Amino acid sequence: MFTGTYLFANIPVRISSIYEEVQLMCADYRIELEPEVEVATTLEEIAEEDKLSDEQRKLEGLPPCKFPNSYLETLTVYRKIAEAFLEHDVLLMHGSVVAVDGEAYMFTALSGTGKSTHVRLWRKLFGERAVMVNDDKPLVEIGGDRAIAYGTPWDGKHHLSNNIAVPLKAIVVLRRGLENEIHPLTTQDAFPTLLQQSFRTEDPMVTMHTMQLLGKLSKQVSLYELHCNMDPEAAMVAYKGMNND
Amino acid sequence: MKLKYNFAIQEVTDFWAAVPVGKDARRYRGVMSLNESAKDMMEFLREDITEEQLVQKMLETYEVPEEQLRHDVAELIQKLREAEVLDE
Repeated sequence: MFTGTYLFANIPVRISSIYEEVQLMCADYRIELEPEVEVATTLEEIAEEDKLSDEQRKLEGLPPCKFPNSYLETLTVYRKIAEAFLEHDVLLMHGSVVAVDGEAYMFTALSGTGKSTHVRLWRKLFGERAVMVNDDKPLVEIGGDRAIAYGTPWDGKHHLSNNIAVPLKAIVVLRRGLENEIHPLTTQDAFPTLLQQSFRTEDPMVTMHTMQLLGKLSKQVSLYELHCNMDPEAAMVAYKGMNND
Repeated sequence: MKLKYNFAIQEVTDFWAAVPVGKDARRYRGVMSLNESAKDMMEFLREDITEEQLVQKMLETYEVPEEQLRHDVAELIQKLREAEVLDE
């Protein structure tokens, strides 16, 4: 058994794990504080994670893949953190978050649409002005006046994240397109994508809380839809479209 | 007729959203957005009810012309049929 306490989205979490991988992965976030949230895993839960991961890959049209238990445990741990954090009005979302000049932009879409690819264009365009918050599964604190995006070590296959907190300015639903074009979205139009890309469980109360938080979040950020190709110009079109005031 | 799935219905901003929960969350992955009266109709449709009974129930709640209500009920039922979430 391995244990350690880490600070995610300003909440101290003690993780007790069967394998060491999750502890090593979280090393940058380690602190010495009394935990507010405690998570531990069992082999049964890790086996369940394996099934879920297969189902998810099937949905996305990917072939099944056998992951090692130590990796699956990192997913189980994050799932448990996400569930506990909902009570603190912190939501785990699936998206790539980049900060420019101290304001964060989240790009969200189904896997394979090109979130990471688009955000790479932002990093090229802005150089050091662009800082990655998290390329895959950031946490978003929704309880206060402004939504805050937090880096976490669950940061996608290229491991792009920083242990930082940045006010979230906008959420962009990404679609592939031939031309680059961005326009505002109503909450109602953005909602199905936002919900599909947010953590929830099958529990009705948890689902309702997630939906309520997304309603609050949509009042704290601007929502856009971006049709884009992979030309460097896409990043400039997106940035200008969200900073034209 | 009644809803095929157990939906969680939640006010979001100026609309309500309905999404299946429990085991049904894996059977149907769609999200429906609803106005206030459609949300009430969804609540009534959790139990088996005829279209006529639904109109009568809604008439007890809303002070709108019957004609208008019949139209709204028919419209929602059509929407639910298209989404394949109605057992008839």
